[in-house]
Amino acid sequence: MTEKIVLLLVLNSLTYAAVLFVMASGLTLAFNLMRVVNLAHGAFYLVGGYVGLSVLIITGNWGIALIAGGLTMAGVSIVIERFLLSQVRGNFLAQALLTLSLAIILADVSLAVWGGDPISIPSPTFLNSPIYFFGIIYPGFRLFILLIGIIIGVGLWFLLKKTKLGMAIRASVDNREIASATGVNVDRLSVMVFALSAFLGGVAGVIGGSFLALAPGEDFKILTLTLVVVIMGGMGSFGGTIIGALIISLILSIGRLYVPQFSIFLTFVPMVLVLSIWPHGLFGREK
Amino acid sequence: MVKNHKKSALTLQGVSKWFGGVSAVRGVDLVIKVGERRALIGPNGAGKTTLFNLITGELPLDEGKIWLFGRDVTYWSARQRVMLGLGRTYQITQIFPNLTVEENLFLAVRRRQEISTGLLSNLFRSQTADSVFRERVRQVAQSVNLEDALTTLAGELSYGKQRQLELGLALAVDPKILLLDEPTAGLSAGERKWMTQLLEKIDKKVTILFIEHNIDVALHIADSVSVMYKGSIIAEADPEKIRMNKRVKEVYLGSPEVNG
Amino acid sequence: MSIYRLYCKYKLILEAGIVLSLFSFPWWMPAFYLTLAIRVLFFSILVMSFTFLAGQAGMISLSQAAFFGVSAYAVAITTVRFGIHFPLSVLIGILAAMGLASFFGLFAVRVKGVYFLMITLAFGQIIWGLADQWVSLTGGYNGISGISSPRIGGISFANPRFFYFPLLCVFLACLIFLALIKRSPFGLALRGVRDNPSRMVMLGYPVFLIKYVAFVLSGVIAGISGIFFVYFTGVINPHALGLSQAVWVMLASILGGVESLVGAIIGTLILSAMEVLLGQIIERYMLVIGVAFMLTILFASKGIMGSLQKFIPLRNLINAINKAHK
Ligand SMILES: Nc1ncnc2c1ncn2[C@@H]1O[C@H](COP(=O)(O)OP(=O)(O)OP(=O)(O)O)[C@@H](O)[C@H]1O
Ligand SMILES: [Mg+2]
Repeated sequence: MTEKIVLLLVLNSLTYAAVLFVMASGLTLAFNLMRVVNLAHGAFYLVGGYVGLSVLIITGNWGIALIAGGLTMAGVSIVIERFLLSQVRGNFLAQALLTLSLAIILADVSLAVWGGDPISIPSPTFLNSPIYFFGIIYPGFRLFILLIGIIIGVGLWFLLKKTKLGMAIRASVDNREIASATGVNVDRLSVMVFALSAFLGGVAGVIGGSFLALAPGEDFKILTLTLVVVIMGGMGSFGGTIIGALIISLILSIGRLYVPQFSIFLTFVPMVLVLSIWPHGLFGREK
Repeated sequence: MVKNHKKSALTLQGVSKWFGGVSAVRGVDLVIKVGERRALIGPNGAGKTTLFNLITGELPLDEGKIWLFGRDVTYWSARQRVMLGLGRTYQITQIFPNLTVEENLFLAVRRRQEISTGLLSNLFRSQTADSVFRERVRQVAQSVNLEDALTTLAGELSYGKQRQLELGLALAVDPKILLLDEPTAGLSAGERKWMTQLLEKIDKKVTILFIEHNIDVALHIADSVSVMYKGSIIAEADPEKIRMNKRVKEVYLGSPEVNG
Repeated sequence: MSIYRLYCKYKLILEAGIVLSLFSFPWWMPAFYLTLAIRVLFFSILVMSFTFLAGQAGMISLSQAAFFGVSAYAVAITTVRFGIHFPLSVLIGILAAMGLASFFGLFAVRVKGVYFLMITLAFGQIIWGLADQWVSLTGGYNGISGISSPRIGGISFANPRFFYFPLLCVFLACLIFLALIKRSPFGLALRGVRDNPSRMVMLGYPVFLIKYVAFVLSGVIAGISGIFFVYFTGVINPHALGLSQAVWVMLASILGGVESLVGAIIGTLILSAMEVLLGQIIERYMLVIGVAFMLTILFASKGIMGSLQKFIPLRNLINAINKAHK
């Protein structure tokens, strides 16, 4: 009996960790290259989810909805980068506050367009059948989400470590001046990375919206959890992101099961424990 | 190996620091007597500034021991070392740009006893009320030739004047030992002369360790010179001997910035 | 310059006049405007707490709404759930804000810039999550209602006319208190820490302690504001300590200029008036706040810390007032 609960807990937290990881890695990506702490990332999640929902209703295809949610946010983010963030480049605090204002704006716009009632994205039918293993029944779709999370993680790793683009990104993260002196177009790279980061936010929204609900307020909730993950893991570290996402989602799942009234509050505990030893998170450094 | 650290102002024993895999300071031994004026010279990247940061405690050291006035301060915080009488200036000017020169100096003269003992009693007193501090601020301003600029915002001063304020901040805390990181760097010939005179006027009881690229300034002020190269002290002697030292010539005096 | 001269010359008369007319409000002001004045007064206290921290210590805190909300919740919960009333419930409210700020401060104060922003945001939101989820205590999404203002010696402070006086007194006390701190040695030390913390260390200052005290102090001030809020409105729900509230506070502060406490009041006045006017015309109020915030950042990006807010016409007046008080 207890083993089954433990297994369920672990599976639940792993799927949730997948969503948090996709969110947090998007945030980290943009932070590393552009030093932008994108506080609109939660709004990207919510709007991406809503767009995915609308596309799903039209096309009936979950895969298309997933891509559409991501691409829409990528498009939006390019406009934001070009016309807004570029105005305050170099002023990190102003950039963060600017994205905060965008978060407020996007939240209200999505309230106007999609209304205030919680909605869920129907998950793809072919994955809806429950899967039986180790004596428990588990929704196949949630395992699929875990798979997507892993694919995105491996994809990001491959992109950053094994491709030319990734090399350019890493070089620019190390030193913008030297990178641009060696012919990397850092500005264009920034737009691309920011778009990729927003794409991940939108994708996370479609995934999250398929097993959680989309509603006003979910944007700030997921932003908070994402921030908790990166604050704990250390801003800018992908390894920290993974560990942070695993810990936080485990805490959340345990909390949901036993003390639902404290599930968000409980995430405070590991964060504070980590911060009391490492002020900048597990793998974080100042600056 | 290191004797006399009871009587010296500053003693370093085997002090080392790595940045990642790079060794910036390796096994530095140094003894500076009370009242001594010691120049620290060496090419760019030799590790001089890093050594300063280790002495002040702004960077934690990886190996070695440090004594200040006979006390083992190796594991003390920067603030504790300051309280013991350590003052410093920075290579890159570290002033309070949005405060006036007067306020800058006020902060320096009021420091320790004021804030740490009487936090609450200080909340309600006007910062400029105390005539003792006012007088002291004026003195320090005068000693670094800034008495005309008291109400100017520090950020709006010329570079040369900012360097004077930098020195003023360090002097205002009444240090017993002063670390100066390239006090004349970036100054014009005229300003440099000024600065050299200011440095000469510092009370002889104050021990000074200073980094200086300009050999004339160094020779003028220093009683003795230490040469740093690739993280180690490679020579230590009085100024004239240093000029003659073959190895020093190789690593340092041959390089173009010496007379710059 | 002319405003400045004029202001200096008649400073005392002018300020006495303003304070006196503030005290006269309840006698002649229509109820609607008196309500607005009360809102402006208690939100000004909250905005001042932000302005003080941002302008003097350079800490842009998104936790202020949480301190505000926690003390409001503490009063609501003690009153409605436990039947603990006026003096004690207020004390508990202030202690709650103070306790929370003392705890948050331990972690938030150790980092700066965007890290500080992020941590205060996350901390504040976690308190929001607690208010939202702990239904048995906080009433969840709907919050707690029916908190009545205290009644002392036959006077019911539920009447706005009576509510106004203690509020105005506390408001002035907070303003004067923060203004005194600004010009005290401690205030100077705060600005020193804001400008150059590493130099402050080398001057022998306990930088962490200085920032921490300022953080807790501003948390307590925010808590005081929350107490008046909950007594006046009689309700508290998670919205009051949500992110939009935190942004509202920041916007009011930046509009008025973070260097100036009087600016905090003026910024609150502008935003509150806007809220009333817009509330009657359009539904998308948050959108307007968001866009206003965005434009403020875009045009005053350096102004968050410095003085690039000249595009705001009020700036001259506020500058004049500031200078006169130096
Ligand atoms: N915070 C740091 N992180 C990594 N490496 C550092 C750091 N600070 C200094 N270094 C490296 O340590 C070495 C010594 O630097 P340091 O600034 O101490 O030299 P210096 O002698 O003061 O040179 P200069 O004459 O140019 O001021 C250099 O190679 C530098 O790149
Ligand atoms: Mg140096």
